[in-house]
Amino acid sequence: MLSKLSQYVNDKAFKQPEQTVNRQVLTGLLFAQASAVLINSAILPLWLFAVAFIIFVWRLQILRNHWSFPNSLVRTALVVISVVAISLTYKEWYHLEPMVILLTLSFLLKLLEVNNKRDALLLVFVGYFVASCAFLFEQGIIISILGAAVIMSLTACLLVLHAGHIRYLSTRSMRTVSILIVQAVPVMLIMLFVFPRVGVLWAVPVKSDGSVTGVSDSMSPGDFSNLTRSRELAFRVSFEDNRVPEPSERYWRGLVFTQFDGRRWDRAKGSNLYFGNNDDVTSYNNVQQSGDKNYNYEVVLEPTNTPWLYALPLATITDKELVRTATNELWLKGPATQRIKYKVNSSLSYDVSEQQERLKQSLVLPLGFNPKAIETAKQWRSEVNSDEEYIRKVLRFYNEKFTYTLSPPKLGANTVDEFLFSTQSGFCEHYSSSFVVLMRAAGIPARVVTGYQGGEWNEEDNYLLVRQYDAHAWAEVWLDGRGWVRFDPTAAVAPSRIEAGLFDTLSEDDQDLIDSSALPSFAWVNSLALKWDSLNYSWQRWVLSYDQEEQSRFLEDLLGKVTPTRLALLLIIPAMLILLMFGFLTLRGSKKTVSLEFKLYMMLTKKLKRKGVSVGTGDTLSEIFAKAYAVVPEAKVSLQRIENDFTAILYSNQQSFTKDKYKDIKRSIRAF
Amino acid sequence: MISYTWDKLFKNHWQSWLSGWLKRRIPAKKTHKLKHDNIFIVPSKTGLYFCVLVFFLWLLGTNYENNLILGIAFLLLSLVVVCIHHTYAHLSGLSISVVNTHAGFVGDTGVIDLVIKRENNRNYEAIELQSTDDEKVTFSLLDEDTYKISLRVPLKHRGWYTPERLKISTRFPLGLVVAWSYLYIDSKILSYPKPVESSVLPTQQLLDENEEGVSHESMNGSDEFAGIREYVAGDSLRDIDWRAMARGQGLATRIYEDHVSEHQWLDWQQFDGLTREARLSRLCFCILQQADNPDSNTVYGLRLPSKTFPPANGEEHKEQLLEALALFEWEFAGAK
Repeated sequence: MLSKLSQYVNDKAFKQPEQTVNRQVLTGLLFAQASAVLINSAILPLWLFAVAFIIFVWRLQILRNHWSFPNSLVRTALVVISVVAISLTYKEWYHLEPMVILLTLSFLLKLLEVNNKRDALLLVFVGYFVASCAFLFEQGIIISILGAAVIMSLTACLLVLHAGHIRYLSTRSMRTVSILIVQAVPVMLIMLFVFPRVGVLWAVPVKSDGSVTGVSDSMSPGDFSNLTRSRELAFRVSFEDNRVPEPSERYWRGLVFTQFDGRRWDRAKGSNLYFGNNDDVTSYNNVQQSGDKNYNYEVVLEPTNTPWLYALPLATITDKELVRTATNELWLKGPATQRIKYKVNSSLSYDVSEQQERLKQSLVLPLGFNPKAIETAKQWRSEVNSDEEYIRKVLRFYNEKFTYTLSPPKLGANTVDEFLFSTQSGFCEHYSSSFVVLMRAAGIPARVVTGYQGGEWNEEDNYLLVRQYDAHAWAEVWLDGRGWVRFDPTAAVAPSRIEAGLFDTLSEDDQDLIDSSALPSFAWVNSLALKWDSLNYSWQRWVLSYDQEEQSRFLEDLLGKVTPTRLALLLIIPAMLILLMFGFLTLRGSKKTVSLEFKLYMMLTKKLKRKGVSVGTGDTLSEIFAKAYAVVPEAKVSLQRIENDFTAILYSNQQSFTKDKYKDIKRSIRAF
Repeated sequence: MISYTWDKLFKNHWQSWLSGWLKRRIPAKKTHKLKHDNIFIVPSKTGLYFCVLVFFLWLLGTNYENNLILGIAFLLLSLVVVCIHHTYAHLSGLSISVVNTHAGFVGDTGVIDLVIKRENNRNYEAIELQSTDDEKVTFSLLDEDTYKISLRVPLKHRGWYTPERLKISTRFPLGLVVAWSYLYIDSKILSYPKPVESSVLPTQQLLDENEEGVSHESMNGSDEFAGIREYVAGDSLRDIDWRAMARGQGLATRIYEDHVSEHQWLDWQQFDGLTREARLSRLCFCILQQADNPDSNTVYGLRLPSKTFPPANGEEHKEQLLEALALFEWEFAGAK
């Protein structure tokens, strides 16, 4: 098919422009282009690699004069086919992914047009852009290192384009480019830290599939089972002064579900109405600003594509613009498509007063569902005197009869009834859901809360690593005089789930369910994995999440008050210093080096002059030594040795005169 | 159309201002040492496009609050800054001296022999030296300390031609900035008149007053007939142009091909009626023709109003005659 395509070539294409690119440049372009495409391979569809391969082969054949450049007809056809292929692969255009792929594709196709220096330059420039796009989707350590390598290979192309005879794949080109990059890095760092940051200008969603990771905004049976099988990272937390709450206190609150339709739990209807409306917001009193129950920590949340954040209650986040809903959820203005970092102050002890209307909402149960559960609840409540007693009774019920498993049997229409009275095995979502139904049926306001529970403590770098399988659902119950109180029915069934984490709670069969490929089976693998994670974490904390707010804090620390003058000085002074240093380094080569032989000669004559030997400017070496023997006969032996050395340097080949020899002679001149 | 002329006007104005300024800043010298006061450094066109790329990367990085992309943007910008040093260092420390010049003809090119020397142990790569847009030499100094270049210079007028400024520049290493210097070389190139083909054959005009002296019939005559010149004692009687003598034009000898051997005269007066430059051009052509004559016996002389060069031959003679033509009243003619 290819040979057929190449038959379409146009003879005009053989006309060579004056500035054709040479073999070296083309090697460089092929190499740099391949690396720029490969670094994006995570998002590229498979067919694109085939296209890339065909294009590379074609270009090589052009280089070998076997085929010729495609004419405009073939080029247009290629473009049309590619666009069709992309639109078949991606239904939606308004996303970064198809755009980056389109860019990559045109970047590849351009290779078939590269003929002169201008085309080559354009290709390199687009290459920089394509390589950078890889960072939109992934920002780990490995991809950063790869990215640096791609930048180098592209820069080497620029070098080969402008420095006639340097070969692309040579130590010389590598060295020159490395020197340039190494010198550029300090200047870059200054710019990175000081250059004023502007906020987001517009947002195009990064991922086209819109897939949401983590807890979703509703809960129905089976939703959590996918999450609890993933070892993927959810977020990492570093605590101030390494003061970490007990495992049983590590409830990372996300969403609150108050509406139940018999199967699915949803957030309260119209809960978004509470945005920014202070009159309607639940009020929290006696929030302890410090003390044992007060924690300061920093969360680095992986991209979730959802707008809510996770934190311990009662959280106050100061460094992000967000809203607190009536149910005490924390919402960003838009979905977290990128990894974000936020600082939290959580006070685990607080009082809350709630509006009656919301309490009423928290009592509603769907009509006609789970009749047995409702009846049982009413009966049990009548048997005891207080709500607390009732709750204890329910928890005891769970504790005695239920088992914890990640693969529970499927449930029918009356999910709660079936779960409570026939299957009696399940995990957090089943427990929390049934628990809240039992509470509401007994007239106690209750709601389901989802988020994460627990986390793995990284000893080495002191942070908490929360994975997707830590996703959890629990209940909050309104008790008069105590406010919203957290109850976790899962803890009643499997206390180790809360104390030790999900993994240790599971039976061996269940353990196999969890993303087994990534599961560490040896201690050293585990510790290595943790080390790698902490490296990644520090990379993300310090490099990736430096943003506008961080910058202004950093600058305020450095400058006191940020004024344009101070900012300019901060930018200019280090830049000047670095530039001066480079200027010195690059020009230092101009200093004429004095040969070692001459240094020795100067040393000798100086010494002899001090000894009283008159050395004339026109004297030969032997004349000088003759005079020296006459003036200082006592040093004749050592002088003779020096003379022999000098003669050896002057008349033997240069290789025998090494640095060691030089030091040797220097010592003997000093000594005599 | 208007904008075109305006552009042209503006451009001319700007260029004349620039060359005047450069002349004052970097006066003509036999040897130029390139250093901070005569090297200019500006972003190249490539560099400007590169900055546009950096801007787009910055936009991408800012919009997605992506520090790695911002890092790349700033790294590329820093590369431009670093390149300023490297490119400068790749030009400074060189010295350019003129060694010799070789004459040429107006409309053609003369040659300046230049030596470029480095006074340090740095490498110099991809240095471009150009006299005009078309005449460009690229060289490097890696293992050797000197580089000899013969640069062709287009000659625009007759006489002593002062070469226009030379441009020495480099874009090494990445082509993002260009360091350049305009150098006026303090040397002169001898510029001969432009040779213009002439049908007049070298001989002595019998009578200066008579324009018809160069008779057409004799010109286009037999293959052997070569011309007429003044009778010189010893010429064969058979060859005397009796018809001319009968017309009262004095004694003249007809020359035939095999007789053209000893004395040929190229005379200013032969081209009566033409302008000075036209005459010089034709004389120049004749000299070249004579010099190329494979017959080594040919000797030729030149008569100019100011000076007469006795017949001779050889390269030296040719150059002497051409120089005489080049410098004939040249102060009034070519040089402005």
